[in-house]
Amino acid sequence: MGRVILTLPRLGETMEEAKVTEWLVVIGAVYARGDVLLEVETDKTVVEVPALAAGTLLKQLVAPGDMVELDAPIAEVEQEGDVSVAGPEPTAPIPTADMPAPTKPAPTPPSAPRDASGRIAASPAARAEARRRGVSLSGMSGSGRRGRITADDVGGDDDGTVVLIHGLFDNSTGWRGLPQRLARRGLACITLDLPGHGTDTTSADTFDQAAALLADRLPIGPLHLVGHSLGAALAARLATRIGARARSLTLFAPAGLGAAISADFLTGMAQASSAEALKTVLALLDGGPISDAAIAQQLPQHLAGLAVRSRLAEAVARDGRQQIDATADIAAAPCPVTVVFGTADRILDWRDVAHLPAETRIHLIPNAGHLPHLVRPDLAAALIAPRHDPAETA
Amino acid sequence: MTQTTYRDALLQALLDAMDADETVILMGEEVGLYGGAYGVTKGMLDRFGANRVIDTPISEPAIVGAAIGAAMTGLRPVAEIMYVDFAGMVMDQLANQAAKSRYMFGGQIGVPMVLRTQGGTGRSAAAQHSQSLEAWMMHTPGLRLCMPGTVSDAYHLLRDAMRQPDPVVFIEHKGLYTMKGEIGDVPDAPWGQPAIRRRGGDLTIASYSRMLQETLTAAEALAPEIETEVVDLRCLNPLDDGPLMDSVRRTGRCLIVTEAVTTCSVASEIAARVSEQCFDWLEEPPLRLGGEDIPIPVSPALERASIPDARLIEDVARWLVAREAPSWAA
Repeated sequence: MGRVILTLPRLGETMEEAKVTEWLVVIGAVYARGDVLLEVETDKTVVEVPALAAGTLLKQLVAPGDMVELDAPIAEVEQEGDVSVAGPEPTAPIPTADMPAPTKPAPTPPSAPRDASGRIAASPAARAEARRRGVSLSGMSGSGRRGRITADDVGGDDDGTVVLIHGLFDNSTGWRGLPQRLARRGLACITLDLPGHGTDTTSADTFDQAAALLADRLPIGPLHLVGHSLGAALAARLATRIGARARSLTLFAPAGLGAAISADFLTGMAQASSAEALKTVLALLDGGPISDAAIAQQLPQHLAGLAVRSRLAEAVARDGRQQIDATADIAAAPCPVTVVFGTADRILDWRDVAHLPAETRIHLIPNAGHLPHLVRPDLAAALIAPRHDPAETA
Repeated sequence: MTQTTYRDALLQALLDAMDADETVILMGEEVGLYGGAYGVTKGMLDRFGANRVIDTPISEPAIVGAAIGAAMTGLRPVAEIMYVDFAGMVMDQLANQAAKSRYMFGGQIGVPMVLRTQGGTGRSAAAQHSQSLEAWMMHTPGLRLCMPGTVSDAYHLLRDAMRQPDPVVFIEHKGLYTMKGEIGDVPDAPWGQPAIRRRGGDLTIASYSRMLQETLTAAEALAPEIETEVVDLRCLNPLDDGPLMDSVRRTGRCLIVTEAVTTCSVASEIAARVSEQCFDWLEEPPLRLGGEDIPIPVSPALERASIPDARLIEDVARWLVAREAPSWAA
């Protein structure tokens, strides 16, 4: 520790002198490196004079309104480290009456950019990112407008977007509240409709075509790919395509692990033309009770473009046997893979998880059918975004 | 596919609808003999006769009132008022009758009509014939509202509008009638959904009507340095804003461009929704870029300067993303 006289640094190319406008650190206060000590006005603009090292302000040698020349003394401070670089020893006697001795050091003073009221300047995205990570914004420096801390400064850039890909004959609404759950965990989340499903008007006659169409619609940046059933097999294919951008792959009741598949379901869906028939087939999913009103609402949607979806269905499964194999894609996935199955699945056989690579994390949900993510929505969200548990960082 | 104009796409939509459904009728000032103030309905009187293509007296409340009555009693009228600026004349018919009837009669009666009109600047038509009054309509529950910004939407949105069970205000842009493009086999998006016109990860710009075209020009100039995602709102009621919010969550920055005066505009509403729904994803506040809060000047130079253009959109986008000072401030 040593007493040092701070002088006015050159803050602009043509600056030779400056007028003091305001002190931002009071006498006796502890400040950190990077904190703004005072503001001065040059002939061009108002600039901040930052502390180049942490310390305690002992005396203000200039007052607001004073004109100060370059390198003239502005403050007497106490700071750690090599004192020789900071100017001559003070000559004035200290302490004085107007300088209360610092009794308790303030908690680690932040160096983050602050506005006049002392609030840290950070974008909403940066605040959300800091909450998720359970880190403090103080001490961070900002690269945004007016020194504002951005999500990238906090390190949010590597988080990526969750992409949800539904299964055959389903659509994006089939995820129910999962997108909202993920949003509450602070994750950006988008849903993709398979070709000919939901609001999508394209068509695909093969698995490869469907994968190619979806690949074109992936958002930029790192991705967490999530799929259900056929969507899971497609997610695995997409993971191999995007390489390092794939951050995780989470597969609910994935197709393509073995040969077995319920022919009752596939032919039932392709042929269901009445509310009653549709209800019977959908019951095989074990997604909970379905009201007649809901079925009546779904029927026209089900019948519209059904031929397109059925062609894709025939390409991926025929005569009760799956025609696709996702295990190679899963083995080649450049990221951690999590597979979730219900042990009461009546569409696919959960025991096919035995064909998965040893690295795969497998979660089996007792008594859940083909929609395990609807039976255990909180678990589903936690498995997709383990680092984003709101309970941990709230 | 063959190129056609925005005007001919509208004509084609009317022809196809009238061929397919004999309850569709046209009514308005000079829609028959003269062929419409902007020439959209040329030739329709000869083809469909005066019973279905009706020249009306110069009274906007009468036109809309008659259309509401026709709609209530089983026809599908397409009424035209020449300028959206005359909406003040018809607001009681529109906001208190057409928009409220289904609700007030407990769903027993609806008003399946389309009110075609046009707005916007570009023809030095001065303060009473150049406004963009879509916010009045969007502020009135019960009215549907769409504003095509492409040739394909001119056709498909008008066809979709004529299939709705509720009154639809269909606002064309006087500066787009001669724009050329192709009519797609299917709509670019379902009724009520925006269309993503360009993909990009740096910034989302939402727009509609003629400002969509200015936005696309700006996006072209910004690339590849700044990749802009351009969302065409097309249908303002109903409006599924989900695709827009998804886009803003990806880019963290949103600019909304409108030709209407900025205060209490469609852009204001969208900016508020973005703030509410995407707060935790935003790196910058959502920005509105709209017309000056002034009556539209008649001088062509002042008229152009009173609304955004591609250059201004480009400048503001650079300021939002790269924090570059706008050209006019350099």
